[in-house]
Parts: sequence; C-alpha cells; structure tokens
Amino acid sequence: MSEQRIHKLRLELRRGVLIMSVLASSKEPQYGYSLRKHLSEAGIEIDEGTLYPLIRRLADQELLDSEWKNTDGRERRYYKISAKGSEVLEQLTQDWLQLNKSISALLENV
Amino acid sequence: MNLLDRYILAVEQALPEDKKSEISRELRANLQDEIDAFIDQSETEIPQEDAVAQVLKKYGHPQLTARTFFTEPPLVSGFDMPLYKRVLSHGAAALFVYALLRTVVSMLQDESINPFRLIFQSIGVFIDGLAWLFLALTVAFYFIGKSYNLSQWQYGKWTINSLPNGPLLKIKTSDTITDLISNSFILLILWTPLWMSDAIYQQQVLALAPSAEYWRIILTVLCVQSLLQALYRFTQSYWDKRTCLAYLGDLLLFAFANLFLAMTDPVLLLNPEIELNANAISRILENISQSTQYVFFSISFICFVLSFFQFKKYRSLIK
Repeated sequence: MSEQRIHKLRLELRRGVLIMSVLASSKEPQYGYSLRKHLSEAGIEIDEGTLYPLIRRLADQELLDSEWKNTDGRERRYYKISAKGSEVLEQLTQDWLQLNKSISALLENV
Repeated sequence: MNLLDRYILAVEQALPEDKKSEISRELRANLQDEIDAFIDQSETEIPQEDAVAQVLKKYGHPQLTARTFFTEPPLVSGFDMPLYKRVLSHGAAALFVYALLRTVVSMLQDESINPFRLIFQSIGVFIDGLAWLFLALTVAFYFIGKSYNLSQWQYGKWTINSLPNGPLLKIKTSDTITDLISNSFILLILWTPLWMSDAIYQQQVLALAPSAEYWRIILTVLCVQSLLQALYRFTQSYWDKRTCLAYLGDLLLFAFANLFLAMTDPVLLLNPEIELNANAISRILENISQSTQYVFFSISFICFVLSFFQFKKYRSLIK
C-alpha cells in the first residue's frame, strides 16, 4: 500500500483521539501554540492547520471555554475545558479505555 | 502592509462576513506565535521577513487556510445526491419528451418536416429547459436540505416487508421514455382538430376514415392508460408483479388492436379535398395510406414479440 494511503488511514485513526487529547490538555488555560507544544511534548504531533480549527470547533460546541488575554504584550485566545467538556471527556475516557482493552486483545493475535 | 497582513487579508477574502474579524484575529495571534517559535528554533539567525515567509509557506494557500476554519456547506449533501441525480435524470427525460413533442407540433403547424430542423430545434428546447431544471433543482435541494432531513424522508418509511423477495429486474428508462413519446405522439395525431388551426387541419393529407371515427376514442383510451402506466413506471426502479402484468396487458391490448385494424377496412384515408404536391413528404404519406394494413400488422407483430419477453419477465418474478 502506498505511503499516502497509509498516511490517510493514520489520520483517520487519530481523528477521534485528537479531540480527547485536546480536551485532556486544556484543564489549564492554553492558547493555540502552547497547546500544540504541550501535545508535541506528550508525543502527539499535530499540525497547526488541524489543531487551530479543531479547538475553535470544540469551543463552538461549548466543550471549551475561551477568553482573550494580553500576555507578554500580545493578545492571545486562551481555551479551557468547560463543565460540559469535562463530562464529555469523562465519558470518552471510559469508552477509550474499554475500546483500547478490546482492541489490545484483538491485536495480541496479530 | 507587511507580509503577515497581506496573508491575513487574503484569508479574509474566503471567509464569511460574520466570522471574518474573529477568525483573522485568532489567526494573527497563532501566526505570530508560530513565527516566534520558528525564529527561536532556528540554528542560525534569520531575518524576521524570512521567518514570516517560511511560516506562511508552511500554512499554505490562504484559501485553504480559510477552508480549515470554515467550510461552505455543499449545495447538495452526499446523502441527498442519489435522490438529486434521480430527479434530475427523470426531469431530463421528461424534458426530452416535451422538447421533441413541442418541435413536432410546431413543425406540423408550419407544415415543414425538415429532419435537421427537428434535431436542432429539439436539442435547443431541451438544453434551454435542462439549464433551468438544473438551476431550479439545485436551489430547491439546497434550501430543502438546509431545513429538512431529506434522507429521513426518503428512507424513514422503510420496513422489513419492503425487502425484495425475488430477483430485481430493472425498468429501462429508455423503454419508458419511448412509451411516453409514442403515446403522446399518437394522442397528438389523434386529436389534431383540438390544437391545430382549421385552415391547416383542412390541408392535412391523411385523415381518419368517417366509418372509423370510433377508433379515435378507443385509441385515446389505450394511449392514456399506457401513458399513465409509463408515468407510474417512471417513479419505480424495478419491475414488480403488478407493474409487469399491467405492462404485459398494455402490450397485448395494442397488439390485438393493431391486428384488428390490419384486418378491417383502412382507417386512414387520403384527404380527397387535397391535391397532393409532388414533394417527398406527400409521396411518403400516400404510400403510408396505401399500406396502413401492413403498418398495423408490423406494429401488432412487434407488440406480440414484446409481450412474449414481458411474459418471460413476469414468469421470473412469480417463481
């Protein structure tokens, strides 16, 4: 299979997990670049073209709260997980753990 | 205006008015952070302008950047596309029938049967109508799709009983269109006195024999029921027992009617008040009037052959 196809499959695999990662990383207020850096340090590389629109969508869905702040002489939009976002994250985490357990069992035979 | 301002301005062009200022404000903040990080991470000292250019290049075309923040909803959603294509293809087929009949009527009224005019005028009327149909349908699907769930309307009434319990035999759209055209054409010919001016009607070369006037009613009934069947089949994709049997009956009715017409006195006669011109059309019509019996025999034979194949379809459905 071509490298391009594998890249697409990898993106599909990561799509759902990224939402969970962003929500989990936003327990403390984060602005776009700091969130990308935080995820990168945790081993999750995500390009800016994917991350910034994603956090905006999560804010539109009221899973993240946001506010503009001036720091280091520059204005930035800070995002923090909302109460609704915390509930969703909790449910997603349970689903993820269950799914991970099931898939791990399936992958043992591979 | 610096490079960053120019980029943001270009992105704004592709954003809706109500989101423009908010998205560009956030994009500017993100880009400035990215540029700072790029300069910090560079091993050698890099001029600010070069760093901006590198980061913007990485972001890509301004329209693509705008699209990641805001995607225009499609005119027709993927789920509605099968219905859209079906309505469009059926509409185009109906339009084709209309274009052909309208051209034929206009040519009969002008008493000029020119094959090139028939082709070009039909195509012209068809394309003109198709453009409007395409536009109207797309606008309708866009607005209906925004307010209602068309997929739910299409598939919501599905029950387990609606699953096919036999082989699926597709109804050929081309056959249905042929039926629509032929029946409409026969009806037009049968009822020329209703839509043709008296002066032109009196000049018609062929006319129904006075003793066969009752055939006008019989053939009208046959054509109308056949036309209604064809219109109903237009809404269906596959043959079922009822439609298959009804069409078989339709073909047999036409077969027997034409057989009867072939064995009785001629029903089409040359208009005695007309002195035929020596042009090709008049000669053809004269020959037709003299050989109507053979024409009716031929039509009857074709209908019987079609009935045979339709019967085979019916048998495979009831197995």
